[in-house]
Amino acid sequence: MSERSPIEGWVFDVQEEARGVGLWLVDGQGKAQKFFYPFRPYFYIAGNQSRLEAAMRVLNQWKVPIFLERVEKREFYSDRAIPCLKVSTDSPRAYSKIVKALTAAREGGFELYTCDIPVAQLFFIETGMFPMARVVLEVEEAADGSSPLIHSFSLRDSPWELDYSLPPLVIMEIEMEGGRGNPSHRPMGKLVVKVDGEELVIEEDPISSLKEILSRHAPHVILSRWGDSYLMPNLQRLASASGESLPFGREPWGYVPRKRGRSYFTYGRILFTASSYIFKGRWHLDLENSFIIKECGLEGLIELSRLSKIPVQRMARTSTGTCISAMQVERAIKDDYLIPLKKTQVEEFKTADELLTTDKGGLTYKPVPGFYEEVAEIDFASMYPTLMAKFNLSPETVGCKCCPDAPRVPEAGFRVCTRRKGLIAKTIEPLLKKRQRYKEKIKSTQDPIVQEIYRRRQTAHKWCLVTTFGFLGYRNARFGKIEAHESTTAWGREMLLRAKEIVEERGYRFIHGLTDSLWVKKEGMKKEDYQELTKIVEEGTGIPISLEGFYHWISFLPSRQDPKIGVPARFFGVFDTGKLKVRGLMVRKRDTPPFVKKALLEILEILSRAGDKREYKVLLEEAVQPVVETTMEKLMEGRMEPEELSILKRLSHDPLQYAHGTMMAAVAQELLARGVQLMPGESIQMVITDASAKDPSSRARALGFLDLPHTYDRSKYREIFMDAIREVDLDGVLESRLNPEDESTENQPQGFITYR
Amino acid sequence: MGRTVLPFNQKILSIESEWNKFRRALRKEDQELLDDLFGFAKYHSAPSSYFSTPNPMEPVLMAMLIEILKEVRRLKFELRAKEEDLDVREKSD
Amino acid sequence: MVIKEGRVGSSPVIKLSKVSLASLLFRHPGEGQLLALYGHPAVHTLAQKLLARPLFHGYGVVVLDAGNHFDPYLISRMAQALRRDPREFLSKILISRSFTCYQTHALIQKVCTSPTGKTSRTVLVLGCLRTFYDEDVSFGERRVLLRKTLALLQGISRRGIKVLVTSADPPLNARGGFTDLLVGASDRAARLGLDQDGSLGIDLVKGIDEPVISRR
Repeated sequence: MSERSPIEGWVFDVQEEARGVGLWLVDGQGKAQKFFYPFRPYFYIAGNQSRLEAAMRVLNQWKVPIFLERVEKREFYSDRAIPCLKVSTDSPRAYSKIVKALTAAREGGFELYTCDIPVAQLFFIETGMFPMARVVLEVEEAADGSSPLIHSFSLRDSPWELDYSLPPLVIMEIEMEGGRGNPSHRPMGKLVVKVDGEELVIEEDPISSLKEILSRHAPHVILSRWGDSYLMPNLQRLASASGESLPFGREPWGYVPRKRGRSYFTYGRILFTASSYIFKGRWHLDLENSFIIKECGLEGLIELSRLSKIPVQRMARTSTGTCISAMQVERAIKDDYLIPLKKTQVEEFKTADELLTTDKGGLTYKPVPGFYEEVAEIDFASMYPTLMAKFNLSPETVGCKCCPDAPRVPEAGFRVCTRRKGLIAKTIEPLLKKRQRYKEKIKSTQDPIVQEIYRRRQTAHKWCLVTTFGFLGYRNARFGKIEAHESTTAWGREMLLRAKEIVEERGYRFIHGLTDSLWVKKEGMKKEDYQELTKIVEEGTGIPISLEGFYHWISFLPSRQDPKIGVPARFFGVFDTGKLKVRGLMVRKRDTPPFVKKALLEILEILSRAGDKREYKVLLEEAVQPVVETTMEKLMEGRMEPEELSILKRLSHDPLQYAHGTMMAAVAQELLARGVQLMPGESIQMVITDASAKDPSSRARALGFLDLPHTYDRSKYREIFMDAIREVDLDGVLESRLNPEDESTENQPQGFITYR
Repeated sequence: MGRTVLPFNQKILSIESEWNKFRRALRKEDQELLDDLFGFAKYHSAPSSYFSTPNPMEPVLMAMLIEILKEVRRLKFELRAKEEDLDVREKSD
Repeated sequence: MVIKEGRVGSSPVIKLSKVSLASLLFRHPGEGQLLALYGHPAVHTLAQKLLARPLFHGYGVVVLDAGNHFDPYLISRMAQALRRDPREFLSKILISRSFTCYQTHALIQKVCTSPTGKTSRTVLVLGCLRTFYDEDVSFGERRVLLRKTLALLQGISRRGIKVLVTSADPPLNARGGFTDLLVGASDRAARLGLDQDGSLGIDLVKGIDEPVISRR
């Protein structure tokens, strides 16, 4: 076995092998290579002598080498040190089977710990490496020509680095032609591939064409649209027909066996997860199957992988909750804790009386609806995570038995441990700090590209912080306890009320409040005065709070049912910086047709130039009205394209179970009839053809299969458009000026869809 | 996480629908007044929720009283302003 | 008062009123039993109303809410109707909630072993089967856990505690006959359903051998 000079590069991916793990490294020139690391995944068994013997009997049945070690580890909730057995094996495949066998045999009374962490993550935790970490490897060639063996390494990177370099990655995009909608909901088209500035439409023999493109360009990343749910399954079928495998992995048969896409009933709803195609030596990222890429781009995805030690392909397909959970697991392992299995922490008993007090959310006020001028919005920064860190709210600290004289949480009255720092606090604090540092750097950096990278990374952090709170009470969270969740909301309410008291004491009117934000106003006060006020509130509450902005004007919308009653989160306004803030309006809703969104975005842009109520009205009459009229004309003359009219809705049940007569039922059944396999939890796009048709099946049609002679229901879409217009209208200015439709519209021919 | 205790805003809606029979038999002009009263209750849903009482009708009624008092004070204020206006005019005549 | 007898399939069925259901449960103070109340979603409300009797007499009650059905306002109204302070009733109810089948099992296990479980005479398990229909967990695992859970409930009832378990009908495509397992493990079972005239009726489908007639 010969040695090589040290190799420097980035840890691209890690995969389970028959023995140990395979590590893909990408160097500074973009060359990808696989190395082998003899990692032994492990877990712990605890119990008294006879119980351990019962476990040993199960272990003895295995033929693979199993290593045992007596160790002492700490139990998470009680913090007691207990003796246990560390069990490890060098075969990742056997590892999961052994755990499964022992889990089934738990009649023996022993407890298993740290046994459901994915092997790749355990590897990263043990070695200190992480996805896209910069490392230097010392390797030995293997005599049999298999991957070189890593015999030592040094880490030249840290997940807490703000600025880090990444290797040059070649990205290959792959999608179906014909727009972004779900390709399985329309007739099959051709594959389109984009790489290195080239765009290719694959006419025939996709598998061979792809093989050729892959070998020519050697991409590192396959970025697809609908890859997991559509492209890959279809390509796989083609490949299998000729006895081949998908060509994307860098190894023969280089992909992890896919998980089936399925709908499942959980927690009162039906959800759908697509299958996932994970490749060896290449990343397959499906833009339609990744919330994280949608929200924070590739930069945010990589940042989260680095922090959580979850390999990139898996990270793309899971939630920020999984990310936070992984960070908690790492922290707990480093602190010598045994990682508990499924969540079986049960809520402590409380009286029904106490339940009434604790089972509340954040304080949500209702504003008096109307158009307000010169209002300031003050927001607590990451309120819940900050409170969790500051008051040490964590599953093992809230309601601890060891500190009878500890301070109590307001309202709920739980005592919080003063002896040890909670896992949640330990995990959140560095994340809060890093996010804060990125925010500061965004302000101080000149380069817009770098700024955008920082912005994406701190957005990823924001999502993690947001889900930390949710996960605190989440039924499936490994480290969660309702009491910790309730304590957090209790402190949140307390802080909002203290803020309200401080501002009101100084003569400011509390216009509206929403969990961690306040809207306040005092006649004659300028932005600087509000900045002063914000500092005072921060001092009074002890929680970081900032001036979100000073609005020239803000419109709080009333309830759709009753114009006299306000709703907590439907408003829009413009800051003195010219930037708009919009919440809860139709323009933000998933199921609003694109033509409405487009028109409203244009309208809001126009209105953002208004400095006060008078200017707003003028703009409505002079600049907004023409936009509305143009759009309305196009709509009523039948010139709207189907894509502009599509409404996105999620299938909440089995398509055959929909009540007869609804538009959802009509479209779902149409798709089924066309051979589309629809799963509950999936979304479909539809166009309303005739909302009042006698035959329910002709009220709406699936977007993907629309062609002549179908038409669209002009008056229904007009209604939708007018609803959106009313949200931005003021004192009925627009509504009164738009020509009322005359009755004879009903008899005029409907608009025609342009032939494709 | 599923909330067990009904959020107060929903509780008000549930109380409102419990009063449907009463509302139905009211004269139309009085129905509007009842709706307005429930609107007052909804406006104060945050303090009612924070209050956490097993008798939700109490904060509902209290909210209604607050808004009615507000209306009374507003009217008093307007009336006084009009009286002063009249006074001034009389003096200058 | 018993209303009438009938037959459902091959087993006899007796129609009950709410009053006789309550008396069936609470008639013998020291008698432990496992009573399943299932069918129409109104079972959860009905079961909570049955708590009026022990609460009125000053007894504590344990509620294990496995389906997010507990309604403190309902208890409050009950208290007011009986001219008692709502907080008095509420403070006598000890409640804990579960959101996964593992938690439901762990919760019932806790009641078996904890002092709380030992001093209360009445335990109400609301929505017992709901967490077992959640497909996040494999069917086999859920079934095993359910059997263990039902065995624990039987154990509790044999210690002289009255255990009332509710379960509304499962979602349409749910597998497994979990309701049958529940009824099978219970001493008595009553089904709440819509009668032909649209009203809700209680049918005692198991445990009929005992004389049920209670005269006022």
